Amino acid sequence: MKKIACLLIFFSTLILTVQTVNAEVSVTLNLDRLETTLADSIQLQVRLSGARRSDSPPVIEGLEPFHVTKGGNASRVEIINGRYNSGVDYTYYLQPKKMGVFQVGPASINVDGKTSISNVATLKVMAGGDASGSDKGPVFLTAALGSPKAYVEQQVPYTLKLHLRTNVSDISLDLPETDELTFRQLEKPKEYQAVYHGASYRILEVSYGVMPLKPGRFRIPPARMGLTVYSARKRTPRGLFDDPFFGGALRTGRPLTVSSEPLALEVLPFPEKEKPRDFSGLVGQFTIEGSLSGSEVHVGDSVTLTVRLSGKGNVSRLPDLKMPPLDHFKTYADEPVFQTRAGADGLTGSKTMKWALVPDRAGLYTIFPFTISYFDPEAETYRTQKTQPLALKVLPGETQTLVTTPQTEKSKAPSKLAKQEVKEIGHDIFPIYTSISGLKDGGWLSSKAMGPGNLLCWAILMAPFLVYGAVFLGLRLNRKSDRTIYAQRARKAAHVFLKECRRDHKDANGMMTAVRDYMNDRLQLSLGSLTPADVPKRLTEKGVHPDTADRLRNVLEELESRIYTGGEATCGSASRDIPGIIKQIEKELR
Amino acid sequence: MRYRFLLPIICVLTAAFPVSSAFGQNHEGNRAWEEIFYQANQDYREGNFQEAVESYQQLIRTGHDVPRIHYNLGNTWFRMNQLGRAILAYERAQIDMPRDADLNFNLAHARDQVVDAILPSKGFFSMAFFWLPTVSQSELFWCFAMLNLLLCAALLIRLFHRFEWLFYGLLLVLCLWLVTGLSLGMKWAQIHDDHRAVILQKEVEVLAGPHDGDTVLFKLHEGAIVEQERSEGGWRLIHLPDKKRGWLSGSVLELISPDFDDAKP
Repeated sequence: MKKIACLLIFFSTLILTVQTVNAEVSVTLNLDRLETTLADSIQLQVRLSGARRSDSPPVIEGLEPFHVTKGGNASRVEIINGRYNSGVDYTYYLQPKKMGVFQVGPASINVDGKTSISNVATLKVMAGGDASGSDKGPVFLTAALGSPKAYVEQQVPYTLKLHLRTNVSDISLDLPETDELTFRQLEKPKEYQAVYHGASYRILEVSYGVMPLKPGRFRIPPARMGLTVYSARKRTPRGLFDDPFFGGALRTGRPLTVSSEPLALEVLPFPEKEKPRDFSGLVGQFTIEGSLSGSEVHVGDSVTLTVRLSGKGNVSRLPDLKMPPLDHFKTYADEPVFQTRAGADGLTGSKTMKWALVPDRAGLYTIFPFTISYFDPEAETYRTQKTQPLALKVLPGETQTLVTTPQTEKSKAPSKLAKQEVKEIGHDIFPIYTSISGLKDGGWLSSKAMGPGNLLCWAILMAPFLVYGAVFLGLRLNRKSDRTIYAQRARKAAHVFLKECRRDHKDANGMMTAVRDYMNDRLQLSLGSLTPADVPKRLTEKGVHPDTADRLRNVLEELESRIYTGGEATCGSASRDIPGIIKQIEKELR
Repeated sequence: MRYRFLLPIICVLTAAFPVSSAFGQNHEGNRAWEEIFYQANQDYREGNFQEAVESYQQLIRTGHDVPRIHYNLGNTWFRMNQLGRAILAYERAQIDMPRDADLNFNLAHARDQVVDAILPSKGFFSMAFFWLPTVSQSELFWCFAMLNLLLCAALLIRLFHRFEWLFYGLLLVLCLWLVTGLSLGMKWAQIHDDHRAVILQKEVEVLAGPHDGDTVLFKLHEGAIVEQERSEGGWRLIHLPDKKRGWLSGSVLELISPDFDDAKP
């Protein structure tokens, strides 16, 4: 029962915890792509997390330029790495009414009386230029550049769309890479439905970032995709092999290669005007931040200076900044941490550099700004970003000895000083032992002498058991000897009684006491008084003949009457009869 | 009369007393070996390694067969570029002081200089009793003796009082007693059935038979440790952990455990 109760408590706690997790409600708005044409439809998904129902459907702003069709909603429960999450997904399909750039969202949802607001997405709607013209067939590939002009090392989006009206498999892609152009995939391929030439196509879209490496006019050759196309068979009357179960196996595929159209890209050199001296070829949008782990530090302790460069563009060119020399500081550089991420908006990344600063003199110091220069292609100008000057107050050390100052908890964490592996320079053996301690032979107890043949070892091991055995035997003997004493006393009871009777003439009272003692000793009793009526029962139990027992009872009754009736105090004939009866009892007891 | 049961204990202790007092007597006559030891150390420091070796060997022959003297002897052989003999002495020292840091360092350093790469074989028992190489036989013995004492003490207490905790304590001690007892037995078997031998010459040829003209099977180098199977007419049959077998002249190797060195000239 206890276990069941514990389990119930455990699961109740778990459910309560889950509900607590559920309490964090959030709403996100997603579009399946950020660019479309007038002829296409876009999937809009509003994702409610942290609640399994809402008070009302979501209210979405910015849908005026679109025809909206509801796509239904779906509940969702996820347990990822032990974390529980549930929610509802609301799906809509948007058909643009006009061209332009539109803000879709935010979406607002009421959950338990509270309103949650989502993000906003931007959608660019272009003319459906392909809505008329010749049909390109069931499979074709298109390529598009984000911009026909770019600066050296500026990332330009390059989007490939595979239009499909039939089933295909085994898709492979041959990118038009040249010595001047490098491609990098930005996000996972997307799949959606779109209208082209009045026909509905399934579109596979892959996005790349193209980075030109030098200025000039370049022709981007066509991208090629190899695939296997399965042609739809003409329907015949339904037979066994028309069953969809066999469909996949009986379809025949043919290899096909489709190419996109070639594109032109004009790559502009960086303008020489106002070019910063420290410009390193960084192109994009970047920021720089600097911070100190503390504004005060004691002499001998360390403080960590962190500088973080981050942004979007050719992040691989983010420079390793050098720490300018600081008077009265020892600086220890940490290994820079570089992180990149490819997303829909291009390549983003950051580089974090850390230095441990150890001051050796008290005072107020300023760490001068770090600067970074880059070219912003959108503004077509150079920009320089710098950190704020950082003030650091150095307090006198608790002790002036830098090396022996113990590290405080505060200073332990950031002080990652540059460690150096200890290298062996020479090899030799350690010296001999010169002390005589420990050199005496252990005699019978030395390792060499130990073994089954060593009697002393056996003695040491057996001694505790011998002691235990001796105690055990002693206890047994002790119990036995107690029983022996009683037996001896029983054997001697008659002898003692007769001896006392012979030694002195007893009165009636004394004789009664002597008989009681005899009975106690002989029969191993502890009677305080003895009545004549008790005697036959106890004697016959031990094997005495009833006549003998009755004889003794009669004699004892006579003695008792002498004691209590105020008659003669002497025993009378009892002093002669009782020894004889006792001797008879002894014979019968044996 | 109540403490009459103590009488047999007193008798046992009285019987044991002469034994312990006999072993409690101090051995006289230590002065001579101390002087030899100091002289050997002095010779070592002065670079008279041959004299130091003779002095250490004299100490071992005269009954001071202790690990530290083997260690010093190993150092002396090492200084004399006798790698095989140095390893032999270190291995002998390691039997009784397996965790000595200096010894383990020197032995590892010496093993690094051995030409042959012979990995020791690992059987089931050596893996099951993995702690055995790190404890000496005497340590195991005293540990077992203490557990023995604890076990008997717990049994004795149970004769008078039957506490529940004592029962579980007794079980725990019994388990430890069994493990330690088994370990002691294993250790004893390891030491007294140790047939490892060290190659003492720079390079030796292992032959297919106990005759000079037999086919050379493979070569071994100074410091390599092999297992001796048997000896025959001044020749020894040895094998390696990878099952390579062959015959070697008895003078080119020496057993780590000298008890079995029946072929010693």
